[in-house]
Amino acid sequence: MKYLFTCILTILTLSPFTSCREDFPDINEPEKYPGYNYNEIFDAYWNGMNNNYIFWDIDTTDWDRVYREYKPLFAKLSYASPEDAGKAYTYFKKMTRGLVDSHYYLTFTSPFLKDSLPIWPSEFKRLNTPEYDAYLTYEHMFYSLPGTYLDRGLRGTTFSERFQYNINAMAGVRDDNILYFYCSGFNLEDLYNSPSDNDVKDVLQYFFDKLIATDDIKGIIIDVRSNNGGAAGDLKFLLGRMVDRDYLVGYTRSKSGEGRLDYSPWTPYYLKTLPGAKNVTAPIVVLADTWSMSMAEILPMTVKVLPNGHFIGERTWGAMGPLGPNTDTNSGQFSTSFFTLVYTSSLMYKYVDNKIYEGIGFPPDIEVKYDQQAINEGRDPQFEAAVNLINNVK
Amino acid sequence: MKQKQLFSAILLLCACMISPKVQAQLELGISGGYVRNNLNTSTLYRSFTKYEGQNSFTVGIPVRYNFKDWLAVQAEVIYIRKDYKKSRSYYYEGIYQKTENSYIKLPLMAHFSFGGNKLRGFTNIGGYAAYWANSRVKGVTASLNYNANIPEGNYLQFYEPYFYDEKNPFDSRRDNRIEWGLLAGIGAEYAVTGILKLFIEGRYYYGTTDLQKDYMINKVPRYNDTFTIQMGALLNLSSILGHNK
Repeated sequence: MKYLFTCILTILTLSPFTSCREDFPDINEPEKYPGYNYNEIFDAYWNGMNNNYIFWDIDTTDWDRVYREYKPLFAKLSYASPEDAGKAYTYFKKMTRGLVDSHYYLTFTSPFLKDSLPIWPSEFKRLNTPEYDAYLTYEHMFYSLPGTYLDRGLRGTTFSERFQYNINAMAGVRDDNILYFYCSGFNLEDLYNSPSDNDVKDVLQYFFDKLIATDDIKGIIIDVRSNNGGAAGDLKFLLGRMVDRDYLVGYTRSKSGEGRLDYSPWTPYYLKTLPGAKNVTAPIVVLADTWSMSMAEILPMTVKVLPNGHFIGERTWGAMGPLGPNTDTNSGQFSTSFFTLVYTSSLMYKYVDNKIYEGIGFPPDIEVKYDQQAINEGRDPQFEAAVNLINNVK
Repeated sequence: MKQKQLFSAILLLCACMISPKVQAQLELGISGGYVRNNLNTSTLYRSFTKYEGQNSFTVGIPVRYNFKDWLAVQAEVIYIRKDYKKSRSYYYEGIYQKTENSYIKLPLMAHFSFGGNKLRGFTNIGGYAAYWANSRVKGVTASLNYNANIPEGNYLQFYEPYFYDEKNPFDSRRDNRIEWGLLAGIGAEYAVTGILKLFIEGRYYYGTTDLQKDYMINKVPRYNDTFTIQMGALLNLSSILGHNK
């Protein structure tokens, strides 16, 4: 009897502690919140970011402070009011102002805001810094530059179905032994392998033929200034033809759980050589500027790993985190009833020097600032610096 | 705070069991066995993603202080691995991560036994504190190296798999390295001689502390649920040292 009593007493004493476990939070997929009031609109967005944003490890934004400050503000807004939609826009702009993800932007489904400008925190930061320069125009890249600096070449434009914008590309030759390639975006491999003819395919073929046929290449200039980036696979497609071995260029990591600080191990990322690649030992010079984003930043970072690689121009935009469907990595972009898209990186990227340049941009070897006056006069100091380097390298 | 209350309750219970007519016998032994651990958590709304329990092992040194022939207090120092696995399926088949967590654990329990002189059954009820000593991760993830040459396949055919097996560094902002919990066990022991006992026990550990600190709003908690089957031997030190009357 005493035995039974003591046993039961023990169980009763300890049983209250079985309730020590916290309940799981009630969080649903951001897309699934009905969103007919600003409470739900805020919760869908805030929780979506809480679980999917890849940069919490390095971002200085206090996301819990954002919750405490803005949830009560959103609770006071009326869904049917156009004025309150404007307030919501302002609140979202302030909430995201400090985010380090330089791909990040918000577009709206709300009928009151669908014609509003996307919220693009990194552009706001860039426009308010001394480094802000104008975008190199189509006219300069397609007409002024080749007319002044190239002996011959080929240019063309093709619409990218994958990215829903035009890709401009140009390839040319200077002095018979300096090759030049320019593109305004990256979807090159898809366009090259397309079963139908297109201008970008022709330009690429021209460039690849010159690469193979020119025995005494003196230098290669790859121009990704004012390039918005695109397909990551184009790195191998373009540079993989110029190297005869793989090069470690950086690392990526994804989310490994629902916590802000849950990350997978760093996974190596290589520039892979293509079969039959030519080992180019002459200088490969990348031109990039403050408007070179994403893949247009990964490319100069990769070229700098090469023993003959150089980067001339300006510090790049700072948007290196690769993007893809949320289901692939359980992280990154998502939508809600209020946002067409919360556009944000799926992976974090770290360069081979173990530094993360997200939100900072990648610096050139040789800085040559954008010169509006020179551009107006038909000159391109950054291109001239590339040619100068090639002609004087020992 | 609740964990400290738990520990205090266990200590108080143990104190209450001390009778004025103590026929104390001290036993010391070794034990070891199989572990099956599950991580009690949620994948929220993630597609084709799940957590799975994992098998591992435990070894320990039990110390038992017998007050009566049916009642004792038992403490242990054990090494235990509490592993779990997260894996993906369908298009993402092949992507997984196994986490191997090593703990130094201090269970403290009331030991109730019943039966004859040789063969006895027992139950253990109590709690534990544990220190998360080490963590390692092994698995496969997809790299960014893309193979555009295949017409169709699954994710790891399009993106080159990366195999890893490495130390999992602790993050002091997130990781709660002290675990508290409750335990319950049932088993049988056989007195081979007046000095040596052999035992087998099935035991369940119920973690009451989240593996994470309270570092974010709407954190999804994680708790260890651990089941062990262990065997061991106990030596009656009191008899060996001639203190038994």
